[in-house]
Amino acid sequence: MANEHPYRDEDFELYALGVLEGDEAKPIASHVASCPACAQKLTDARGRVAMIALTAERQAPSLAPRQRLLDQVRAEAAPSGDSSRTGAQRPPQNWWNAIWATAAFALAACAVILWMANSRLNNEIQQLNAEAQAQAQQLKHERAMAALLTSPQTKTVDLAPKAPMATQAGRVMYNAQLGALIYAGNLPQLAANKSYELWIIPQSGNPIPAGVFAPQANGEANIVMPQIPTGVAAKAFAVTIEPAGGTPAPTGPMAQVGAAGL
Amino acid sequence: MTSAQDAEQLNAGRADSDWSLLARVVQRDDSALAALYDRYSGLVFSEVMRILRDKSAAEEILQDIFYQIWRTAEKFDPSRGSLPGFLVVAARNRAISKFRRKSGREDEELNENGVALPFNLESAAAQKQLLERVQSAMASLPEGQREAIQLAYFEGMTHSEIASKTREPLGTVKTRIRSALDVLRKALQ
Repeated sequence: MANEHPYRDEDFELYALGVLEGDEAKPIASHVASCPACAQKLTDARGRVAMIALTAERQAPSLAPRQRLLDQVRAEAAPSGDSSRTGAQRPPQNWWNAIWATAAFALAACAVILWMANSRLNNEIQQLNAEAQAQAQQLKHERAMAALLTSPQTKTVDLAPKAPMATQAGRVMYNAQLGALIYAGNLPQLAANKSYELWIIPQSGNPIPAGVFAPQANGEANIVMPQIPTGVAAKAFAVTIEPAGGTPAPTGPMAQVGAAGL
Repeated sequence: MTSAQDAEQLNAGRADSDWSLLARVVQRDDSALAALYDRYSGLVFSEVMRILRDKSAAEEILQDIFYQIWRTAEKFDPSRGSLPGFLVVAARNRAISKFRRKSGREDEELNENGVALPFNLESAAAQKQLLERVQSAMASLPEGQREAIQLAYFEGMTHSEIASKTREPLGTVKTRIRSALDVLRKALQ
């Protein structure tokens, strides 16, 4: 009877009742799996057979299973009382997902805060290093000045004004061995495109630039420890008027000059 | 059959029809589940008690079946069968499995076992009316036919097992069951 249409309603009823065995049941099961019409006949047969249940003596359950059932389904309800969810009960992973998301956000926030603190500390360290370097440089400068001022080899040279460029004198303290120099003087203001420049006139060779400067409003001018070579025997010192920013060699008129006698 | 389908179609639109209650169960409305339980628990419990004759076990199966309704309501396809039909078949399968201590189909999926009842059972009056018709048909059966069909239905026996228990020839058992089913079919027309 394989794959043939069972032609009697009782065939489906016998199958639904469960009395068929092995070779009797399998062909029907196989057939209805692929035949919608016979599947519907089986559905109808199940309904008729199920009516036999009505012949059981009518009895009522206690109240307990009803209460246990309702307790069971209410225990699964969402805490917010959300009744709009459909389908299977809430998976517990949602709670864990929320916990992990919160923890991840907290860790990210901590990482940002720590990064900002680290950046601020790095900036402070860099600032402190710069200050330390500046202080070291200042200390070196001041030690050099102290050496210049206290060395017996330090010479003082007065610079006389050269009219009409200058009317007041200047003074240079110079130590050839240390390569150190301090200038102080009083000079008139210059035009914006001009600068004063100090020169070391060596015993031999070209004049050596010793600093470009401008006087203050009251005419006071000074140069402290410019970068000059050591060991230069100075014959004289001079201040000239040069283009703004100075020149590598004197081109302008002299404002002050003095013989070193060194 | 036609009158039953008409009645069912008319009842389907009612706010408290099986379909509308199932739709509310899908929305997690436990009061709808309670309504279905109140409607069909007597039918299910009576059947299971007839099979197991153990109140505690019967109530356990009763609770499990309705909890399955709660869990899988969205899978139910009304075009494939009725809810009371599913309940009766599922309860029978579980009870017989427990009774005979053999593995069976214990988790009947609503969309896998269509059971089309010939009548609407949503009201107590409808259940009572159908009960009277079926009981009358069963009472009209000769003792041998009634015994055979009850052994088949309430104890899950096959032809051979019934023949062995009743000490009747296999062919006789098959004839008796066919005859009983024929009477039942005609009573439900």
